[in-house]
Amino acid sequence: MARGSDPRVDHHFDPPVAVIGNLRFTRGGVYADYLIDGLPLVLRPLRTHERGSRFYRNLARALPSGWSLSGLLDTTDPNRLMRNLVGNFAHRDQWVDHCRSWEPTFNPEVAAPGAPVLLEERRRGWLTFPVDSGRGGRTAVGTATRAKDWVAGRDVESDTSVAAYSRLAAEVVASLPRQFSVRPASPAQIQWQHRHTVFRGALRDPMPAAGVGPDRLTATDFVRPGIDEGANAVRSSWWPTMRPIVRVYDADNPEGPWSYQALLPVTHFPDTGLRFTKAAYLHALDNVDSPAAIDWMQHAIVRSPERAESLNARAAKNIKDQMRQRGRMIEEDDELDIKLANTREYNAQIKANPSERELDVATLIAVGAPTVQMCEDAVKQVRHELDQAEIAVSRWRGAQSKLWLAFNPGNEKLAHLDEFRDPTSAHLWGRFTPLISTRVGDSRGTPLAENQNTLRRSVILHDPEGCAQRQRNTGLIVIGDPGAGKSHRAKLSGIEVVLRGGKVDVFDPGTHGEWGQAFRNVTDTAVIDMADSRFSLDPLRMFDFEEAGAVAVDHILPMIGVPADSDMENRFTLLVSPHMRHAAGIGSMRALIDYLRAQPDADNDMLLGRLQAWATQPAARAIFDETLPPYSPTQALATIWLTHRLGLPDADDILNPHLYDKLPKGARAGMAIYGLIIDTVQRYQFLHREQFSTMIFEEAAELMAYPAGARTAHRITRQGRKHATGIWLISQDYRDFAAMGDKFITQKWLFAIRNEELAAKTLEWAGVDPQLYPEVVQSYYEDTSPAESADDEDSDDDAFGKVDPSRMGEGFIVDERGRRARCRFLGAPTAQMACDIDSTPPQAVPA
Amino acid sequence: MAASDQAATGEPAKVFTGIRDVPIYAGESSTGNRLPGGPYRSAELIAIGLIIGPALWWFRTHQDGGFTVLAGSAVAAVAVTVILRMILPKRRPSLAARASFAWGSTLPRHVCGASPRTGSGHGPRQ
Repeated sequence: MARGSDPRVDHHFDPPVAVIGNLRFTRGGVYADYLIDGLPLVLRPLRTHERGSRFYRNLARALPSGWSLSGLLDTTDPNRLMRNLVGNFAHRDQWVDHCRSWEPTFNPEVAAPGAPVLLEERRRGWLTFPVDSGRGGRTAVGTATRAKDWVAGRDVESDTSVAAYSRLAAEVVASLPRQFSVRPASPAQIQWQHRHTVFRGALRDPMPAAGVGPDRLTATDFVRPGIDEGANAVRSSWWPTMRPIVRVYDADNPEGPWSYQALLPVTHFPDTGLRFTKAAYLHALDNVDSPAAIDWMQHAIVRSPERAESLNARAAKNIKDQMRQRGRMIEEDDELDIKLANTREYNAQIKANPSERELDVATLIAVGAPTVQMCEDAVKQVRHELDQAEIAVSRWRGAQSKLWLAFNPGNEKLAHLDEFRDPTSAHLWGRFTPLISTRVGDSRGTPLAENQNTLRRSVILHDPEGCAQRQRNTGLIVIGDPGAGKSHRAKLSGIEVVLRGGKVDVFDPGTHGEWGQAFRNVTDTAVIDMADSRFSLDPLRMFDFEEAGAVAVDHILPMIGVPADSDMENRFTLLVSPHMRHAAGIGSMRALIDYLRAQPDADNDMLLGRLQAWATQPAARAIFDETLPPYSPTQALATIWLTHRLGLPDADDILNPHLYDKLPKGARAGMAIYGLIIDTVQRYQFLHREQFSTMIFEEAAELMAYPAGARTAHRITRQGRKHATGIWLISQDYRDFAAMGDKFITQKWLFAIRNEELAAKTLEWAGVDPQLYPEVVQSYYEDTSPAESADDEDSDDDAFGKVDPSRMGEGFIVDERGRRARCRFLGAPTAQMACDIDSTPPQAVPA
Repeated sequence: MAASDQAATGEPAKVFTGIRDVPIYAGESSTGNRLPGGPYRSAELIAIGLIIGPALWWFRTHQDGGFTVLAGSAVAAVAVTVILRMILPKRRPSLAARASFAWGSTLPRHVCGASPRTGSGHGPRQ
């Protein structure tokens, strides 16, 4: 073809003749299109991979011959993302304003020039199978069925035919594993798929949502592709470019945009196969660092075991015959021996189970970009990425336009796919787990983190309010080294809960009141110093009559040093029981002391002596002073409880009985007050189910060590869901939560941990098997928010030792469904908010 | 993300590449009787037949120069066989597919889908 020539019509490149529902009518047959989700296997244990591979096996066995599965790279619509951020809180102006401040993070149209933008990309699974050849698909019987229909002059678009095709498609889909969420593609989505195939990498239109658009389309609604092998029509020389590339464009708009595409059939797999996690080589394509779009598709011919055995027998006979025919030639080459061994192994595989199916699979990788250079660069990276799994692709000059047809259902027979097929059993194919979902987080909520499971980034949303609605556990544990960013992100998420109208109670042990500073620009915030004794925390006054005694036993006895299950403990328990208090008129701790003092032989009463001694302590005034008004929860949405003046003991002091006995009275009183406040807040939050609320514990180790505190935390993790109440626990060591019983807490945010042993154990605690993912563990302690270490004359001395801003907040996340991701937690969207939540000490100003 | 060599990783994922892709050679005319210079691929045998066959006919029908033609054809058959052994693919894609690719590379196609509105056979819709 001469350069600059007009394209010649080739009907093999025609778009679909019509689309009705999810049925695609082409000159080469009728197909049904479906969207299919990948399985969440990222960072999962081996048993989950094994289970996932069995789902893929069952999928392959249930599909008719001639099916294709594609992974298409989609871009998320920033406006849709914005709508998901706002969620159900559009009536809250402050929240909507806050969401607007997030928009430049992911929407290039509103981002400042040159500012980094998180362009979200998602791998979309696309399943297509023929429905005009009967249940078996493209088999000999299917071909006969089509021939019969052709002879009979069947109108494939008649209502009767469409109903029959739809029934068949529904029957097939009903037999597929539910885990894939297979759902019919809408006509607008099929139009998107065709357009995406034409403009791969050159245009990035987001896939339309389901239910959007008409219910049928005709050929005029589709782009008419122009196909230019080797981009020869626009070449500058007289000679053919001989370039293994194809230029694809809209033939009705030849000026552009143009997509340069390279089609790469996979031609080599290691003879010994691929083990987890390298087996998921198609997932690895998402780790190619290129702005080019990289898609893949697998086309499979399905055969019964009997047919496969027959083909194997013929192949084995041929091989044996060739061993004789080739004579001495085979002495130099063991190719035939290997093929015979493989044939026998495969035959054993296919015979093992009568429900097994042979898949003769061709795998094609498509790279699309707006420029040749970008496409070439991406192809190099694809080769490099696959080489790590010892997989090779070929790239044939002159074949690119035909290979492109593989993505155009109805014409895939002309795509030379048969030249690149490799047989395997559905069982062994399933172990490749071709489509893996990297999605983590919620569909709505605040932008929490950048998903770094692959280099195709996406935003992880966090919706704590919706968690309870979804019947998930509302607990959250945040782990990380000091300065890793855990408080930073928790503060931001806490502020966002308040902006959405939720209630937050923060227990801040810091001496700088950093949480108060973080919330200083948030209206409805109250800061309370727990050591001020402005109100009474007497459990017998504050709590319901029926439960007040139990609360007093929980908090007062440890404070006054009464051992568990002692005579004194039993007596106190009896005295504060509802029956006794009612009979003796005991309405407060002071009244209890008065009652004991009135008893005979009061001077020798050890319990009275202890209570009287404690009643004189200034630190315990909130418990024994009847003149103080009882505590009443504030109406503020955010309450910051400052605990540092309580003089709380550390976890070791509490856990070690010998150290606990030596604690000063002030520390024990502080612990009791701390526990009483927590119990009070928890009860208040449980009573108000109509409003989401959460308690945030900074440095939660002490709370966990204190049995009453651990019990409260455990209660919230088990019952908080029913009461729209959450608990966020922040600490540096996951082992702090062992006493509480943390097995019900699914959500975990892991920030940088530098200690190798602790990092490995923390990941294991989060469900990441260090044996299966040793490189992940290594990258956790070595390459998570690493400090600048460029040690040369030209390096920035100020930056040395600090974390690069673009790498701050890196870590791992486990969401409420147990999905895992390596991620970078996002910081505040505005400079003002970043300043508010920053706990870094200010630099000294020279005098 | 790679699994450690020591970690249990279960059964491998596998495809059986090329087990049915066996190039056919003919090395024996009958059991135990090996063809000289063999084994031969089908294309080689066809090429040899196409060269030697006419040469033998010429040898039988022409008295002068028959040996020259026969010798020349033998040399040509050897040369063609050597060339074919170099270019015939030992694995997929097949020779036909490779020829199609080569054709597409040297005479590249510039095509487009048919326009449903104009019915025009050539060129972009106006």
